[in-house]
Amino acid sequence: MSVTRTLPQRVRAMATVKHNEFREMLLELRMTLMNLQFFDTLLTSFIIFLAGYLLISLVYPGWRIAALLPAIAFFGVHVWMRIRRNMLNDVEQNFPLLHEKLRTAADHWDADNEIVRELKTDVMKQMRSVESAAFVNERNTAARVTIAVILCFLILFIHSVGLTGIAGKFLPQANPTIGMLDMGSEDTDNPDYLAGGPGGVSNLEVEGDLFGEANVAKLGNEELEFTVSSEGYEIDIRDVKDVRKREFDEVFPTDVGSTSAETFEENIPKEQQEIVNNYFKSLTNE
Amino acid sequence: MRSYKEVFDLLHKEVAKVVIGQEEMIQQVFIAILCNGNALLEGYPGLAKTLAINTISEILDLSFARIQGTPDLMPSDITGTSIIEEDRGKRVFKFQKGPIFNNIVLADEINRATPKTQSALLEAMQEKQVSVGNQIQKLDLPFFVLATQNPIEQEGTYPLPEAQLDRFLLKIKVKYPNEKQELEIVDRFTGNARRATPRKVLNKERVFFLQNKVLEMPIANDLKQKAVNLILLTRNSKNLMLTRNSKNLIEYGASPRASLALIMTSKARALMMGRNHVSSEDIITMAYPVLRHRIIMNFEAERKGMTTDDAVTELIKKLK
Repeated sequence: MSVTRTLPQRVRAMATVKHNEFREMLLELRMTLMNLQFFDTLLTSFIIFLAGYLLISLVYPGWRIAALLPAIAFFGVHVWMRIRRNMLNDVEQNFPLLHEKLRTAADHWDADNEIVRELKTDVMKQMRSVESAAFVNERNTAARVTIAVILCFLILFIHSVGLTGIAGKFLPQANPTIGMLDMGSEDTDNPDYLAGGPGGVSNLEVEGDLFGEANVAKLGNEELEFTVSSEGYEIDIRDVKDVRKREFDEVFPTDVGSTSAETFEENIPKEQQEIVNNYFKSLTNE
Repeated sequence: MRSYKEVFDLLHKEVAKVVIGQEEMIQQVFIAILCNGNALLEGYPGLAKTLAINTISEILDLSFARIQGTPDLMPSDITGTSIIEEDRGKRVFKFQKGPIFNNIVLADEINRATPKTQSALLEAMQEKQVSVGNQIQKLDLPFFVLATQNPIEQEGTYPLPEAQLDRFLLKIKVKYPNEKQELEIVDRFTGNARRATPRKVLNKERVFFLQNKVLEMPIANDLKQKAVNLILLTRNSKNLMLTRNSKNLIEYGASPRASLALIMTSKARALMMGRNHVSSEDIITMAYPVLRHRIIMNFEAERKGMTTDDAVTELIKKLK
């Protein structure tokens, strides 16, 4: 049995196709705008985070994680505001031909009469000329990306040259005492000492320079050369033999003996000894 | 939508064959008809109010009647009365329909009629029916009351009460023609050139069809909100003050009927303009004839020469 459609049925069927097309178009438009706005908000939040991170690194390096807070707060508020705002107004602002048409059609997406159908067709026709690039402010985005890159480089720079916490030194009560260990007289094995208990590390108060007298540490133009001899700790398992049993006939084995150091046997004249002694004293007193 | 615009352009063209200028007034009368509402036309004598309405009824192929408001005009002169008639040797009462039983009724100088007569129009305007004796007579649809009043010569007049004013969808101001139009009027009506007669463009069915199209006209939710906000602004006592501590200049704001009227007339205007949606321009344009008679200014405003149109302008500025 063949089914033939009457004219009103065909018109209704066509209208349903248009209706669905329009719905899909609206959905796509909303998704595109949401993605663009999400990227925009994310980029701004990232800049806020970097700026906060840089500032905190200069002042209180230990609190760097706090830079996340303003960025997260901005992101949340901005996304909430954007969701509340009618995004279609942005499209209408960029495309004056769609002025008031798009939001009217969107508000009546489920209505079906001659005028609304014509409006939807009209909007869909004009939407073909709408490109998502029109909603991206290239200059603004480029500027913000540049700012983000500059901030990244600044952060790398202050970390590489060790400027972190430098601003904190100029602030009252911001001078950290961590790292001041006077190992001389304290009992470092005592857990109280390390944990900051009575008389512990964090309770130390040091007068003057943390590293001692500057003049003692002065080396002048001389260079210190250190050579660390390598020590073999590797064991060749093939060389390991059983312990040789030795018997000692005497109280002291023949291969064990002692000789007095030659330096003490040197006969240095008294006068020369005094000259050397005075020289070292004068060096210490300088 | 282009076809609707062509229809309205043709209507204007046909009216222009008889009435020179007054495009705004004619457009607003058509809007009132499209919204199935009544209009009050206010203007000085001789501005072609009656001629324009008569011409419109001819073009729309609707029956037309004119009632001249006078202090001795009785309600029965409008609604009709029962008269004794002889039918097959028996005398029976037969209802003789009055001028109200027409599609377009022009109540000329309505403020000269007594309040009793004015109120006879109330039921007809709102309910589209009249009660005569113990009978209710339905009026022939479409039915429109287009009343006129004269802003001068207020002596011996009965200003329309607010309740009755609110029943008029629009209060249309009829302005003087400009110099060019005045010359054209002189040429047309003082020469021996044959006067053109307008042809019928629509009929009852088409008027109903267009009224339905107005209801179908979509309006964006934010524009609807804007229209409602404008009406709410008229009610807020702090919205129209000349100085910070002065008294509000609006004594009474507009009723919810104003919200309905503003949305409906904006839709009708959009249809006339051949648009498939209502724009904010429609709302702003229609705010004046809709609110003009629904806002009551206080004595202070009158003393300063502030009209309701000035108040609407200020409120629109606040809305933006």
